Amino acid sequence: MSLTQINYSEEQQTLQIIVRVFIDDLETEINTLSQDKIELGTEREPLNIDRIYKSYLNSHLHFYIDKHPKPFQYIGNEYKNDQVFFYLEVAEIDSIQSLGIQNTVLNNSFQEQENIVKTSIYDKHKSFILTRNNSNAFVSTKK
Amino acid sequence: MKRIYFTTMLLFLAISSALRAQVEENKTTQKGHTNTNKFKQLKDEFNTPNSQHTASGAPGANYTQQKVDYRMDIVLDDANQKIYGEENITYHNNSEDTLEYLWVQLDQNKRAKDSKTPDIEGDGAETYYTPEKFASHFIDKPFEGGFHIVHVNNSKGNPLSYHINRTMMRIDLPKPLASGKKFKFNIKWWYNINNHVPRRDRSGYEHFPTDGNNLYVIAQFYPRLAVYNNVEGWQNMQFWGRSEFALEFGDFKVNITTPKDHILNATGVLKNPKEVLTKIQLKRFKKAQTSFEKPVLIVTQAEAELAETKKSKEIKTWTFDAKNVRDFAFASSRKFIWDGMAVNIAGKSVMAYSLYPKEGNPLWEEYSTKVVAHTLKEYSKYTFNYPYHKAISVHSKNQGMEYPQICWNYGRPRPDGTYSDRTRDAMIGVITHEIGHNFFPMIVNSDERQWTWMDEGLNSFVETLTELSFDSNFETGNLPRDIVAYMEGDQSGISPIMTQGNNVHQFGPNAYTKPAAGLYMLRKTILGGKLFDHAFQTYAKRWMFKHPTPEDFFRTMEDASAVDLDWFWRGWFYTTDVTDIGIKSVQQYRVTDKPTEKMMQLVKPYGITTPEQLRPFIYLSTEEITEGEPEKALQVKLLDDFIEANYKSKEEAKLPTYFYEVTFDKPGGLVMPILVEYTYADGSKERKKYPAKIWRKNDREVKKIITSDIEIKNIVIDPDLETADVDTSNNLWPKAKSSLFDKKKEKLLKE
Ligand SMILES: [Zn+2]
Repeated sequence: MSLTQINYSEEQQTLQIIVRVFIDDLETEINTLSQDKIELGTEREPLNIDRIYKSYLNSHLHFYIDKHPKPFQYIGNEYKNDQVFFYLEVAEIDSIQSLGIQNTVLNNSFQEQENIVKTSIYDKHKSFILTRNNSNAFVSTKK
Repeated sequence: MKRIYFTTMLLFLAISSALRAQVEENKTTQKGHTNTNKFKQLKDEFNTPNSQHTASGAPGANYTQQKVDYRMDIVLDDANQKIYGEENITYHNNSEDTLEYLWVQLDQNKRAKDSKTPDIEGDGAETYYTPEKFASHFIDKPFEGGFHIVHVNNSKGNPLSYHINRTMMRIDLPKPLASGKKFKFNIKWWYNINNHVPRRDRSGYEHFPTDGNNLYVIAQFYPRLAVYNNVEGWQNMQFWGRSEFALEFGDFKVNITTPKDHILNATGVLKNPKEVLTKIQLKRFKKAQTSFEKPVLIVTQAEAELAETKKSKEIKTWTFDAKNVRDFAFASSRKFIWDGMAVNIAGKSVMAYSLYPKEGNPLWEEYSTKVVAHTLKEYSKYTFNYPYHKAISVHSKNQGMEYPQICWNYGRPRPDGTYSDRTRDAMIGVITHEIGHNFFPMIVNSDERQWTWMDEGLNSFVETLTELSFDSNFETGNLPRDIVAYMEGDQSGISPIMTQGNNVHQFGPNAYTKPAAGLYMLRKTILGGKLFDHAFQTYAKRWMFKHPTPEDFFRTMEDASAVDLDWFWRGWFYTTDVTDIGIKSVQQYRVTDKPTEKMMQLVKPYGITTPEQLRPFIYLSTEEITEGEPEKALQVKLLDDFIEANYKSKEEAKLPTYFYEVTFDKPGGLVMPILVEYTYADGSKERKKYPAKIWRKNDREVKKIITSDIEIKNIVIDPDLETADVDTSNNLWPKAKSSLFDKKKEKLLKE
């Protein structure tokens, strides 16, 4: 299970994104595909972990604003109990007509993976459960 | 007296005429509704109480329970990973009913070739396959699992008629079994033991390629009688693999034959330690029974490592005797190290044991038995004194599974023996949880097949208290704040707790975390420790060695606390509603004698148009102060006179300086107490708890007048995150300027 909360800040003109994933699940996922086995959130975590996370998220999370792909900035991560929180931001968004999300986080290793995506844009709240078969969500956000 | 009468009448007239005006405009006949009040009693949802399950939640005078005794001879064939058994069963019909057949559970048939368990899961092509996975899906023949029933005989050795319906076997009784009578029969069986690692089965073996040995954790391994009780009749719902077990209590005498160099432990008292342990091990076995401070090694790592290399061809037989248990399980391997210590439970000495291979060290020798001992002590405090003589924690890869007096637990260090804090804490957590299952459901024997939450939820709750007393900073993952991410999720992925386990979405949060967090909230925030603990203990004691239903729990908690909790059960257990309480607005008032605009509007229909025509009143006003108006409350003559006439002094009449009206709104469907923290201008803080009943007449919004001597700077709802409030952005007044995201961003960019 993962949980992605996406808020649009009109004041800062940014999309603020928090992604929560269980550390064990992410460890399994990252290690299924790579030759080298790594540990996450322990004293043996590789020093370049931010680069690993950044590239993982870049290939598994995509945002489309008004139907155009928009890259996000990786701000950082934080471990809390058995979960890792990622903070991402899409900058310079002066308005949103629609938001598209593709989320395939953890889909490689977990057949029944459920990625919950919640959006809050112009005070309108939506929530989606994305699965392997259906990894896209679309919100029309006209004011 | 009269004047008061007049003004009340006047107000009444004004209001009723306003209402009349409204009614006349709205001509359509209004529809009625049934009682949808959140405080409505659960008469419709609950089973009707009777003399078996009473209205108080206790077992009644006519409560009955069957008893099943087993004498079994078991052979573990390590070379071929097979297990053989013959069992003599004595079934005691204690019910008032006459039975025509018996239902026996064949849980191993979940792994039979014709099992329907895989058929109810949807699947599709994977993105990629490991060779092992590919082979298991497309090349290998299915595992030859499931019971081979050799015979089902009566006590004279003649065959009985039986019919197997997947994981259930019906035995047709030669003549109906009357109330109070017993029936003896015999089943002979064998099956191929599965490797439990690839599919995360609840029992089986793990193979260690480096030394060529197997570690067996064996359970659900013999045909077991299904429950026949007062509420379900036969509990013969199929075993699909998820929703666990319902079993009768009884006495067991079991002989288990293993290779001579195996170390084994099981449910029950080991009757022949002299025959199965070496002299030195026997000495240590006895020494452990008087060691209350720390564990004593009964079988050392050196002995286990030696056994790993020898692989004896000889055999030996272990004999166990278990009284009043609902099930029997065992673990066996030549890899086992064994340690144990004594625990003092209210003056009685109980043994805490651990079995683990060298792969579990040094983590296991350090923690396992100590956690077992701590768990037995803490759970005994919240329920009843642990009645059995021992509890064993067995190291088993990926397992977290419970049986009477014995359980399997994960937690394996890296190959070099080091381990992360996360591995250690997960292991402490799982041992606490599985040992805790001795209380729920091994003794308080709820029906797991129907209600997962009754054992998992109650157990996770006591587990949480136990972990917090082991280490007050322990991250239990079961607190109200931990369930928010689940509860705020999309409703299509959430089921009420009161849902049969096989049909539940998100099993873990639904059946473990949510009930545990709810009970934690009930204890800490709603009832308080004293009331809660007495009621919870009453439930545990009433239903020790019996079969409680959800209503028995709900009713007992009210019966023993004198607190109506139907609103809580209804919201938290029967719905998927969420907590969301917010501060809608805060209005500051001043005290004046100048009639407010609202007041003048009210009296206008009666020809009162100027303040002078009105009798003097005191007003709480938000209107801007005008000239000549009193600046302080005591300058209001009416009030001043009243205080003068009725109080000894002005000091005695403590008149507040600040008046606020706070409007709380409730976007969430759940009713909850409102927990508020007021912070004053001088930094001092005050907390106030408004009971959940505050919502009984208005489920959306309530107002409260708050008075103080010092100005209020801010107000927070649920400052300690006790109520699982899913949206805390409305919990603050004044509203927070920067979001959680902004704060984290600032912090992360600094690093
Ligand atoms: Zn459990």
